[in-house]
Amino acid sequence: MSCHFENSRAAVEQAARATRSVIIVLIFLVCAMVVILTFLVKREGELHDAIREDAIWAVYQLDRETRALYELVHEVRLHPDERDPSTGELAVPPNQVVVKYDILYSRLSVLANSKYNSYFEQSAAIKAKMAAIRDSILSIEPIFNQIDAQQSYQGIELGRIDEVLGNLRGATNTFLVRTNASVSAGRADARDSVFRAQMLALLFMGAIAVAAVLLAFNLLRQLRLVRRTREELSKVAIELENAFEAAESGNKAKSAFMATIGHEIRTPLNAILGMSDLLATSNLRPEDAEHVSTISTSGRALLEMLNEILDFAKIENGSLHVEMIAFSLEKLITETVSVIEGEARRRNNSLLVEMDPALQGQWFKSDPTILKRILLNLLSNAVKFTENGRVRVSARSGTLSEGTSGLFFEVSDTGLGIPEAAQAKLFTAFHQVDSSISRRFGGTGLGLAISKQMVETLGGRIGVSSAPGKGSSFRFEIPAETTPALQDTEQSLPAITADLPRLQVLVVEDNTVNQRVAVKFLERLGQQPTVARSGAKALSVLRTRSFDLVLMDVQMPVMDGISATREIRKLGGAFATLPIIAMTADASDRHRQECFDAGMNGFEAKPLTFQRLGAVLRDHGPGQENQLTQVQAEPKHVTGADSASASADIVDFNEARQSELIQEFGAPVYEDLAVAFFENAEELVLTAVSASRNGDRATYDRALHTLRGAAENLGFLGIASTAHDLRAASGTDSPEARLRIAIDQAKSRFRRMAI
Amino acid sequence: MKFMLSLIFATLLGWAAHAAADLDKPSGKIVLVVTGNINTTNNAGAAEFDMDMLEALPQVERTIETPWTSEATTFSGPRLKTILDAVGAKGSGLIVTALNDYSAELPYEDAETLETMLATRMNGDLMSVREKGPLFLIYPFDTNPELFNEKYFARSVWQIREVEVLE
Repeated sequence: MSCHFENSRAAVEQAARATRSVIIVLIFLVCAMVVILTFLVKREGELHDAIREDAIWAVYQLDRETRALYELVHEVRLHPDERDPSTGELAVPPNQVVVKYDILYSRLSVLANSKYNSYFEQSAAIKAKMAAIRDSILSIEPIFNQIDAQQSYQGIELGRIDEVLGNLRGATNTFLVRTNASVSAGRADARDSVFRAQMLALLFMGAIAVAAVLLAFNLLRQLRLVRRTREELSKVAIELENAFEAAESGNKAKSAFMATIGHEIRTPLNAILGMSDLLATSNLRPEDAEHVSTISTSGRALLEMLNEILDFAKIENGSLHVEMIAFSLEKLITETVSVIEGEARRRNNSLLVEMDPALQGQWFKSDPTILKRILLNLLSNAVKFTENGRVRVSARSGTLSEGTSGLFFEVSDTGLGIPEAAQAKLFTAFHQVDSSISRRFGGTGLGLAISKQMVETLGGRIGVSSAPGKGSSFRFEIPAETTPALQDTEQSLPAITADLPRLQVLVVEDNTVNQRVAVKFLERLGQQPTVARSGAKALSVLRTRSFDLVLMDVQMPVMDGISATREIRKLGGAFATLPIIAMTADASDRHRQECFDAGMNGFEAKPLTFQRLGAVLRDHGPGQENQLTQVQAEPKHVTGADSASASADIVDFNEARQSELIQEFGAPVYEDLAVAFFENAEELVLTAVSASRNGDRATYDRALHTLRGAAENLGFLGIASTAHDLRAASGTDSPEARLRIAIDQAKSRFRRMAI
Repeated sequence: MKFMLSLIFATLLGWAAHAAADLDKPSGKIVLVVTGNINTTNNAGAAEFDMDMLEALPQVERTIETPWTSEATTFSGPRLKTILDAVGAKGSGLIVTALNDYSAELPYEDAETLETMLATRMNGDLMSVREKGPLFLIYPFDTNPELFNEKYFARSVWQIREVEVLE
């Protein structure tokens, strides 16, 4: 088809060339025609003057007047004294003779003075004749003057004028004949040249007609060819479109395939990692220990790569959705940098944040999750390729080339640097500067491709400048409008705590990690928390002291939250109205209904965020009873994971949650919490495993539930989902292995990310 | 303006002529005889003019190029129409005859609609017979260039002696 199309195009071009040639010939012909017509018109003008005809007439008149005068003079000469018998006057009055002479004389002046002159003087012979005629006419003038004066023929040399006029008659006759011949010849010549010009014009007209026909024919042909080419072109376009769609769907299918297969690979890989870690704890010979360690490191590297590939597949798949929300740039950068701080420290790099002071406290609208990922990618690259150096991240706002306002980021390092030749390919997928890099540093080479895709998804641009040995500098810009700070969803600490009452809060929670998180949060919010490890403990504490609010975990050993609430409500009095808020990982409607049926006032999904906790305190504090119904009607406000939960199938870690905790408590506290969690998790796994062996379904379930809640609380979504899965699937083959794998993964993630 | 004046004069004169049904007798040499369908005469059905009579009529003047002169020449004299009105002429055509019996026939409109002049003077001087005088019929080649062709050249009679008004 494309060959066909080529042929058509060539034919169209050929036709166009032919048309051009014909047009050029046509223009030439028309020009020639114009020249000929101009010539003809000019000739016609010359003929119009018709001086020749007038000339003949003038000469004829001269000849005629000469004859008339000659006859009159001849008559007078023969009968000079003849008189009219009636009047007695002379038969030929002298006056008449004089007038005749005068007329002849005037003829002479016409020939001499008029425009014919130029014509006569063209011929030397005619000119000579004319001169002779003039001379002879003038020679007899005195005689006629004499006749005029005396009004008689007395003493007049009539013989002489008779002779002169006789000769003159011959001369004017010859003059007339010659003039006529000359004029005829001239006319014939003129007619001939006009005729030739006309024939030429006719010829050219014929040629023009032929060219015009040729042009019309050629244009028609061209039109036909163009139409055909257009048809072919549209066919090709459709084919291309089909091909593109096929390729596109192929690409999508590939991405979907990768996402699926990635998951499938990850499960056994997790098993390998888990088992190798288990193996590492057993008593091994040093040699074997090293082998196991190699398995473990390689496995982790593989897992990391797999995650990146899955990310990339997700982007290619088009399932990266932008969510434009307001965020604090300062907070975002701080959070991002805190993630990479640990690694930077390990590599002895200083980490510098340079933020335009104007940006402090500024809020922008974009997708903070994606932006954070981009910054994190660039930062982890910078840290990865730099040792004993400096990594700097800077941000400023400005105007993009499109004229809209935007944010400009730069992440620079003093590391390896990138050769210029490699810079162009830097942002292409599966590319690393050279193969030795991947051997030395690992990775898929997808990080920058992912970053670029993400920047472009946000409508921005990314670029790099680098010199080997001097470090690299990655710059990117994204459109972002400033926006007023969103007080509703994210508030600064002072804003949240500002109008909060100081309350006595009882936290009923069996899991230590969750206890600690809740207590820390409450303390940060200026509250006075007390912890009860179970429903029964809560009841006994409530009997001794008065509280303003109870945060009740629902699933606990000994006495669960539902039963505890019923018991509290049974106490009556102030306890009937004491606000009790459920905290649970199970956000189902059925569960929610159960809680309200038991007499709870609110329902919050775990993990409870700092923001939500503030809201709960404000809504359920003393004198806020009227808020109850509203809160009840309100569905869960913030899910356990924020926007990151959408990608929980791939991301096993809730960075947002982690960032929140780090921000509120500081990194060391978070580390403490994580360590405590991992210890706690170990116990819970053992409990679950032994319960599973003994067939103690309730204990098994509760242990896994607790694990899930605690894991969610710290953002370890992988563990949470594994625990959840195990609860649902009864009699699973190896709960221990799966849990250990998940925990192990979380640990490695924690280690890698942390701090 | 001049043209208007001539018209008024001519009309007045025509009226006067009609009233008198007569024309003064020429006192000098007769230079023009008007014959044919006219109602104002001074000699046996003809109207005879000497130069003084012609020059007493309203005069017009125009400077033109002709095929018979080598440069622009000023002609002056009465309009042909002025003379025809003076003799109470009425007709469809005119025959203008020269001293040498050359004659040309022209439609009456040439006198009515065109400002044809019976020139008596060339460059301010009376014209002798040798100088195509005494009278020369001049067509307005300057204001009507389309007349500059043989048709009107042939009608441009000089050495005029007689004008006959055809019915």
